[in-house]
Amino acid sequence: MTDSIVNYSKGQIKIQQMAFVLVAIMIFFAIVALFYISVRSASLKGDVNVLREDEARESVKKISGSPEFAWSITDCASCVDLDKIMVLKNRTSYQRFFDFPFLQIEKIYPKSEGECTKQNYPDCRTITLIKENNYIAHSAFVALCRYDAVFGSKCELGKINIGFRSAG
Amino acid sequence: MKRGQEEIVGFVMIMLVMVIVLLIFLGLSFRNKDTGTRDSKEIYQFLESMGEYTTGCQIRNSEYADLGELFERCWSNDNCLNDEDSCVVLNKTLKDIFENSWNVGPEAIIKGYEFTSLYKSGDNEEKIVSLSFGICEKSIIGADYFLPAFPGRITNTLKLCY
Repeated sequence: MTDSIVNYSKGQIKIQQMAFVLVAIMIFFAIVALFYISVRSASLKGDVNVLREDEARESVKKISGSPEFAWSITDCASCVDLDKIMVLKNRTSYQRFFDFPFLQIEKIYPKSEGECTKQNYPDCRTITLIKENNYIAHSAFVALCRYDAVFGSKCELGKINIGFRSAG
Repeated sequence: MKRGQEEIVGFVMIMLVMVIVLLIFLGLSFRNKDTGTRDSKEIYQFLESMGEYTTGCQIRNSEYADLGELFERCWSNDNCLNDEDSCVVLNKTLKDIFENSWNVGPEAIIKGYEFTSLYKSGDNEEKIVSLSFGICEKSIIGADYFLPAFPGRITNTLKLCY
């Protein structure tokens, strides 16, 4: 059996020390980089949500300005015609007209319940125009206007709920 | 300089570099953190749409005031043709709309809200209506919506507290 004894010179020890310090610095920078990436990725998720909400609002503006939705009696940018939307609900030719997997109009105030049908309209809460699977929904406030026997033109507070296809 | 001293100086320099790098990263991370009240497009859209709501305040033979018009009517003490007080209708409608539109409470995400409507003309400023509910301490988002009211303007401000 032989014992191996290694004698390091001063220069070798110095090189070893420097190597250890360099490795420590690299590990430190790696930890800092990981911390930074995790913080950035968290804020990116928030940014995606904000962008989706902005997109929903822009889509609402676009939709409420389209002839199929627009309330043309008064000069109102945030108004949609609820009577027109109710007619659209039963038109199969409009099923592929809007490129969203989910499109719903919801009455917020005055409070009411249930999906709108020819029998309960306008005393109902929602008109669902499109409903497919796999979407992330965002909403924006609008004024829901229609003709009324007592009030003439009557506007109520509502929301347009729009679904966007999830990125996967 | 002795060899030990040289090593200490080297160690201190490495520590300094590390601290500087760490401070730069922390600075970058917290630079964009929001403070105070943030503007919200959702709240702006809410205020805009809310103003179109048709109230029960009759202003002409077969015409009813929308909520936006009621702010000016309340400020100028004009009552409705159907003997309703425009300020009472305004307060009640606003309260009902807020209750139905936002889920506010100590257990909810939104802890409270503050709504004010101010008439401003030059240096003259007058409060029309003020409503609040819950606790407003931490993060606040809000928006202003302007309505013309000759010779000045009405500013509606809603703040939601998280």
